[in-house]
Amino acid sequence: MNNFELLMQGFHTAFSLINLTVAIGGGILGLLVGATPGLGGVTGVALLLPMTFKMDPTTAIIFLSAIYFGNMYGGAYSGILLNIPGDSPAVMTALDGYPMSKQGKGGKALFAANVSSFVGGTFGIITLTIFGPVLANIGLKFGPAEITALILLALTSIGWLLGEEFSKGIVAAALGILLSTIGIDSMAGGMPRYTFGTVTLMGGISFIPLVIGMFGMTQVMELMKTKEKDSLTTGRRLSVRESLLDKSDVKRISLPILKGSVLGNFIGFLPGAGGTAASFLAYVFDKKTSKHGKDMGKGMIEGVAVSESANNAAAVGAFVPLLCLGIPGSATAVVLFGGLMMWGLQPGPLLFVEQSEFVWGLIGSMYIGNVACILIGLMIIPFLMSILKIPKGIIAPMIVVICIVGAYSINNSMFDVWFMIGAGVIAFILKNNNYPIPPILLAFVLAPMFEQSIRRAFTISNGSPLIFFQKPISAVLLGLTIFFLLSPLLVSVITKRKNRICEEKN
Amino acid sequence: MKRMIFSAILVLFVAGFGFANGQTEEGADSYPSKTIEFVVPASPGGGSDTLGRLLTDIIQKNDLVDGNIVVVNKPGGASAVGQQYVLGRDGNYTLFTMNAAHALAARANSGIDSMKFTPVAAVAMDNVLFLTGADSGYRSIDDVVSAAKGKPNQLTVGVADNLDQLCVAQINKSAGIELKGVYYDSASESNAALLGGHIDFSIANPNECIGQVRSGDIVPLATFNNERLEAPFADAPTFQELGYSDVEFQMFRSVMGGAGMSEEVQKFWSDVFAQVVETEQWKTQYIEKKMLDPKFMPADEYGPYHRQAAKRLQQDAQDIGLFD
Repeated sequence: MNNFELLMQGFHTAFSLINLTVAIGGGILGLLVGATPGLGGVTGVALLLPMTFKMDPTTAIIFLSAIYFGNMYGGAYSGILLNIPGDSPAVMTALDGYPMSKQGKGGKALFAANVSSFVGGTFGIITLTIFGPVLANIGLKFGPAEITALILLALTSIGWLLGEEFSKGIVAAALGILLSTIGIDSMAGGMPRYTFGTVTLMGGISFIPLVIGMFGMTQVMELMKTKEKDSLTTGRRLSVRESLLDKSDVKRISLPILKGSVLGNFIGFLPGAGGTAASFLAYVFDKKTSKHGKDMGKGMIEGVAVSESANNAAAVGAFVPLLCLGIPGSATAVVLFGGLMMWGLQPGPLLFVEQSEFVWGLIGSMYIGNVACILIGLMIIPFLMSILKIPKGIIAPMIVVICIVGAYSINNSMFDVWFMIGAGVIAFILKNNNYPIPPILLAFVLAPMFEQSIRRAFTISNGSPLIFFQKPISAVLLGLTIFFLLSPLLVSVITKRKNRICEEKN
Repeated sequence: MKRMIFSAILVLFVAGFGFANGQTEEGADSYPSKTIEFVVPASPGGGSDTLGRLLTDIIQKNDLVDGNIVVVNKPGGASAVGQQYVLGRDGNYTLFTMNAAHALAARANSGIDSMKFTPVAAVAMDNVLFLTGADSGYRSIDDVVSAAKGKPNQLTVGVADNLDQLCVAQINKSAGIELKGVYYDSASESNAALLGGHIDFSIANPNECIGQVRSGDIVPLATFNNERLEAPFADAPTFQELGYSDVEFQMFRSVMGGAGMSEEVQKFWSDVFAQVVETEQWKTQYIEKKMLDPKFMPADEYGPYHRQAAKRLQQDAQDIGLFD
């Protein structure tokens, strides 16, 4: 049987009444969990996992993958509406989504987020269906040296993030790097760094309280600064019709969605990367390579599209190494890995052969889960939009409550709540002095990945930098990095020469 | 009048306090009289979490304890954050998961004295394997030793924590070679690096590599246990068989109680877990599935064992300079 026939059989499995019911139920549950800041995909799936032990394995994984997909959709909503990203990949969505809400285009942003999530997710599922095992093996080629080179390449294109004042951007990025180094250094026998002897700091700073503080709390303080009593959209009523995407919108978002899907999916199946890095890098890539790039971050629909398509494509990408190799590529995949064993399946390269009904049932259910999520997502847009009509005096305290609950729930720790509030205050001061916030978060996500990869590479090579040039993939990536770094110089040399030739001609 | 109201409130308050206090006083027959916290010093989804949730599930399904148990995740600092949290709770009503890796990590990192906690029971022993990739060209430990002789720090072993690093040190010491540990976040990450050919060897528990071993992508070269494991690991010899008699390790997984847990309560829980390990659910969902050794130690046996094991781990770690 070829893949197509197997998939059809998978659909047959997935289309039973019970499986459809759990797909829709899981989708709704996932949307709710995803939209709640602090409760991300990992926690959601981990907490609901025991519920599934009595189910048939296929039904169980359909339920969990619907929750997982719902999560990826839901994370965007609170980011767009309240500027509190529901999960970490939604940070980049909020960068453009929230300004859109303020401009009265919140409905459009939600619509675009749903559509992009759907396309990104579907793209990921199709590549999984056709190329699964091949892709998994390409992902394995990315070891410490290759990942280091990949991050270096990405870093060449983030100059824009630093904002108008270069030095302030550097300060912000340095702050992000500093925060990310706090905690136990797992690479050196568990040496604590910057913990000042306290046990609380040993666990390090969690990303979610940092983001909730720097986005949500700062948001509330901004709201309190102004004296208007209006709602976020200054009282204007939003109609559902306004939020539909018209032809020009579709045209604007189709290319970013394609970029986000391809890049996000690729990063998803690299070992140890994940949805957050995927949406960051796809956003940066789109900003660098498109005409609208310079306006991104000010409420461009393209920003929402590229970030959402990337993180959904990455979410599916993480399934590729899990199903094909038995190696979980993301935190949520680790939980599902545990689930597979509990249902009596053995994750590994033989899963496709020995449990083909299960695997194809799962892949079939991914298509169904994704369709269920977009239908639910589109239907609740009018309800979500009513949030935008709530007056500021009421919405501000509500946001504070959501922030506190979200920060607490990530590690069940009061420290995280205080840290979140502190981060909010500091971000507010920084923002009002023109220090940009995004570099802090980007540095916080990328710095640990970069540090671990480069240190692993140097451990393997006994400190010799040659390892980066001996491996073909990393050599190519480093070559590109150097090219991009030198390109402004080359451009100026060429234009100078041209000018000189022109002058000589005259 | 005001004064009267004030003193009335005061009386009520004191009475209430006394009453509440009376409730928490431990009588052996009334235990437990409030909710028990089962702390998992790690994130949801990991090995400790699976263990903690399975244990409470079995206890509640079989009505082994007449009371409520909640699982609380306190991740961070290689279990240090969770252990610090336990120190601040009521010792009689707090349990948490412990294992050899945590016993090694927490004390070294924070000066938390794990002897303050109350050993309750060891529930299983986990095995450790030395692995290589199918295409690496190494077919036996002899291959490894002869390749590594005279080439110090050239061959790499993926390790997920200090405990794995100790296992590498045992081999190095016994065979007179210098394999080099490369830290990864988890065994599955180091297995991925092994499959990609970025490292030469890796260290993992059976359940962390069984899928790849069955498919033949990863080959177990030896086990640190002193008996061979079952299929598909049966072909892997023990280090003892191969003549490396001082290379031996098994990782305990256990449950500890909070600081100052009374002896009756300690006995109570030890008996509860003795019943847990007899259930069918425990045997099929944990021991068989994760390929563990079903070794149970009650409190009186596990206590001295824990003290000794923790001490030895610390000593070994110091000997190889892990904390320098």
